[in-house]
Amino acid sequence: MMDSYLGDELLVETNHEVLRHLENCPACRNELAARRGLLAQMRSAVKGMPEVQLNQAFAIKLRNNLRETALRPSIWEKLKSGGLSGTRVLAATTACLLLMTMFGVVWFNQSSPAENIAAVGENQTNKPAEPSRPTESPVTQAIQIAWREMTHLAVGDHKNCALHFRLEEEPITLKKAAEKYGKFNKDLDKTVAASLSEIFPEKQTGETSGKIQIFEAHSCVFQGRRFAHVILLYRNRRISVLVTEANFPVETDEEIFSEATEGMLAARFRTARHAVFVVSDLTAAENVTIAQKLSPAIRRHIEQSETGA
Amino acid sequence: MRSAKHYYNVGRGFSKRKLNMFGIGGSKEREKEWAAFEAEALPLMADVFRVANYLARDRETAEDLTQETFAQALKSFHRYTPDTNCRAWLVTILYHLNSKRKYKLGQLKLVEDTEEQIAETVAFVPSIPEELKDEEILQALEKLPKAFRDVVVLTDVEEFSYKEVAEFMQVPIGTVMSRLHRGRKLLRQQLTEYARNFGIVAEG
Repeated sequence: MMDSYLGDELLVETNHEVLRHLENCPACRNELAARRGLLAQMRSAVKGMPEVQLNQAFAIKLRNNLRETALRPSIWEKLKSGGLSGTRVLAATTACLLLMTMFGVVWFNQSSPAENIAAVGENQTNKPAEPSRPTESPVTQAIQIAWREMTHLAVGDHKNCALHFRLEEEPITLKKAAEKYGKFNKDLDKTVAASLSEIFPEKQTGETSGKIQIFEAHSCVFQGRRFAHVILLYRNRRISVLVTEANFPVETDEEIFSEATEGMLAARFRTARHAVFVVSDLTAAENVTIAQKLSPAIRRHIEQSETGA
Repeated sequence: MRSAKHYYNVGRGFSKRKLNMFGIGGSKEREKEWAAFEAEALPLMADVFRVANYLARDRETAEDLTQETFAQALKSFHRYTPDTNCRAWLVTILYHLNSKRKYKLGQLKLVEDTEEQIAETVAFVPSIPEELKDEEILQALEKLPKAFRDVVVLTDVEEFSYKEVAEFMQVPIGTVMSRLHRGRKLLRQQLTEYARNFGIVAEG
């Protein structure tokens, strides 16, 4: 209670009681005086410790920093007084807009597929389009990437060999290619020629330009990939039938897929170890029909060449 | 009862100060606010630093804490009611910042166990010996468990009220009083031992 009395923490009534007691009790008065003395000595001793003294340089620095913060003009005042120049405001706004546009473009690109895999001739043909798979396994994704790469090469070969010859390496005959690069090359043109009558049978009579015929057949290389290349001619347009070795796993070898890419239509199908492309700038339906009609013969041709029959 | 005019003025003052906080007020308001801060808070820098030093026990951290306390106080000065206890308000901020710092360092811990242990060891209340040296008092203080020392220093040295100390430490006022009681007893016991060793107080 004596300490609380010294600390002035007692209720008024209790305080009076203590005072009354002290008047008649010398022992308590002495004790109180001793405690008061100790308190005073402790205060001066603690407050006088050198380690608790404030460094004046620090105090001045802190005061100046605080003053600067307190009196710093607001952004509104800077704008009002022209402290922020128009050019700086304009630059900041432009930068913000530019950033927003960039984010928008990135977002848009991510949300739409890189390659537009079009369902072929929705109303003209009932060929199956590549089904959309929301959750694709890594293997499927890898196969799709391989297909994309190979389709790019097939379309490139069609453009740089069938349409405008710009290949670095001279094409070789299918016969020579059969010896060096696989028996499937041999007589591929003949196999294709034999099936030509089945393509567009209703148009094979009449004017010659409507006839589909073989223009050229060879083996050529585009960007390191070798293709057995049969060029067909239909209505003065060139169609490439390209066969190449494909070593990635077969996903489905029954279906024919078609996509519009790099300004061309590419229909494709697979056998166990080969990929076959029909590339042209005809309509999607026509392009797929060519692939569809040629596929049994080409599949058989490749199969026979592999078994050595 | 206060007049409507009083509340009107309080409201006006508060809104102006609040606007100023958001940097919307004009330069005159800012200067006025700074003048008030400079008059009320800045003279207490030495006191705040001293308490920061008790808490951190190292000059660099104490200076950091002081700086953060005043920066925070400047930001929140609109919340301070003029002519109230500015020193207690600043030390409350300091304690809050120190808890945050300790929390980050993973040093925040409870002290109840120590308190219980110490309670058993304090058996009697010795009377205070006379003729003590400052060093002896400081050594005795240093020997107190931290929870008790902090309360003794804040109450007996810095002269904060029990209520204020309870608010700083975020503990009930009863806890402050019991810690203080035990801390003082321990301190006296310690000092009597010194006195006895130096022959100031007779044994027995």
